[in-house]
Amino acid sequence: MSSPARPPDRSQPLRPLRVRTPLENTPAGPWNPDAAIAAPLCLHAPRVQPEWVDYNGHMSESCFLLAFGDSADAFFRFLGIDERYRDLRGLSFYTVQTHLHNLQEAAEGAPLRLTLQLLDADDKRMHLFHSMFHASSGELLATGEQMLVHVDTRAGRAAAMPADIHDHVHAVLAAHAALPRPPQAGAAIGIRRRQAT
Amino acid sequence: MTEPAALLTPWRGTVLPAWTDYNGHLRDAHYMIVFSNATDCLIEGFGLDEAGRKATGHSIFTLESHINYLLEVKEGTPIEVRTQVLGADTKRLNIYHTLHVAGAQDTLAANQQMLLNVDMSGPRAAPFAPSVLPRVQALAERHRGLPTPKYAGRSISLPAPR
Repeated sequence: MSSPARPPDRSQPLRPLRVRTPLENTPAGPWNPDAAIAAPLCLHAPRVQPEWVDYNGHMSESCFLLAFGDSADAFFRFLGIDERYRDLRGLSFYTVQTHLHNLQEAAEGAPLRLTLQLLDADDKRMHLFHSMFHASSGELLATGEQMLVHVDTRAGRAAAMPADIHDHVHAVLAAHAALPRPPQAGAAIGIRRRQAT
Repeated sequence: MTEPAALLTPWRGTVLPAWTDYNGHLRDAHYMIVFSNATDCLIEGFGLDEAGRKATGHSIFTLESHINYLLEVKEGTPIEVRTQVLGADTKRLNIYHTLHVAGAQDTLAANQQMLLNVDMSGPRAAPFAPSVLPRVQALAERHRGLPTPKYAGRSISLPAPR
């Protein structure tokens, strides 16, 4: 098989101009050290948008990641990371790895409930685990595991979190320590064949 | 230089403004759009374009996907995806995409995907259609001798495995 001479044009933008996330320019609220931290956190509950649905009639895998990204953005704001953090302090988190499991289909208009579990963290990295459920049936539709690195955007390199954010992240980590490890976490992709006996 | 010659380049395009974030870089979720486009083009090459999907009643689902983000890429950059088949059986296909600036060597991101052939009447997993299977197997055979790529089979952990 040879590659097509002229690949079909799949350049339809999902959103106009650049990407605008639902929480863009929503300032992070104050951190309350006495408030209980939900385990897992549930910060994002969108419906499946018409532009998220592909030719199979269900939500495409890139849009699962879009929803997980929006949930991560809500988590950043929960921690105190917003546009001011990025623009005034020159700090941000970059995604370095993502692993998606697409388990069930999601139809247009379906109500979704996303949860976020912090699996691990050190002084500059966070290991996140997203789960996407159908909000009515409770069925698990997809999972997304991500490694994020804290970056000094001006220096263009990984940098330790400042003390305030480090404390918030480790408070979440402590609150999530008792959660079971999801079966999809830490997976590698490969075709598993039955052993010949 | 047998390796580059053996890889496919199923998709070429440009980083669209609609895919970029506040600083004009391709946003993390939108790498997946690019790689999904490449997968669509790949499976169209196997005969599973819209007409082929209708004729066979089959479609391809992505079960799992793993992205390693390596370098930033800016709005307007011409980009291409190169693809290696890592393995296949009668209903599954394990593929590895890399994203590059068009014609350049550096890898911007790597993406491994596990694809499953699905009979849409179920929907349920089903062997590739007789018209499709030989094409999948021929490509898998052509790529069999290629080295395993650097970011294939990765898992996510802290600290990163050495």
